[in-house]
Amino acid sequence: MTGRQATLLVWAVLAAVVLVFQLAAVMSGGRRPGLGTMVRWLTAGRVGRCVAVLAWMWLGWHAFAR
Amino acid sequence: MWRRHQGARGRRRIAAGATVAVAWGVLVSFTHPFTWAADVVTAVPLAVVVVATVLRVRAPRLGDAAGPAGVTATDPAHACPRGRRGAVWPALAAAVGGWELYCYASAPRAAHPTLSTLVDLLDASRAGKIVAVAAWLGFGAYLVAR
Repeated sequence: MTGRQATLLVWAVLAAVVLVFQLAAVMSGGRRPGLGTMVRWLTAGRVGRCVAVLAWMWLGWHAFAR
Repeated sequence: MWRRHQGARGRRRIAAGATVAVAWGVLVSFTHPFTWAADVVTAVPLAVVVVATVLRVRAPRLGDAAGPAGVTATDPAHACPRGRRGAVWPALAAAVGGWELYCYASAPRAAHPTLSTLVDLLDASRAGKIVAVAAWLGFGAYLVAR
């Protein structure tokens, strides 16, 4: 296995773990926190919301413009 | 009756927003990074979200006693998830962040692709770029609408 394949495998495992926990949260009917719960909690205040918007701006600029 | 009306209006708004997001994604898919066209089509949604967020944060919602942000510290919908179940997401975020840092610090980049490299792979196809732009715009709209 090459270094690239190993790195991609770790990314795939991380993505699968995120997906499994999100599915578990959806299927638990609110007993387990999902990504949405975490985002709601992080952006509940003004500071958190501003940080989230700044991160969103950086992400878009980095991915599509520069 | 009112709720049904509100639900139908909400669905129409989501459908309209999704249509605009996909249409904007098509527009962005015709541009290439490091060009003025890409700068413009990326800067327009940035400006819209910044203005909308500032207006939303400054203006209290109608009939909202919770204050300008519309949220109270005791609001159960925004309470901090506690316990082992709540610790899963910070742990996952740390794992993703740690792996990203390791890849970023490692060379060559081709052997250690970062999240940016993976997004570039997605952006390489027109369909992938449309999906990525629409998802990015959708999250921006969610941040404004909160």
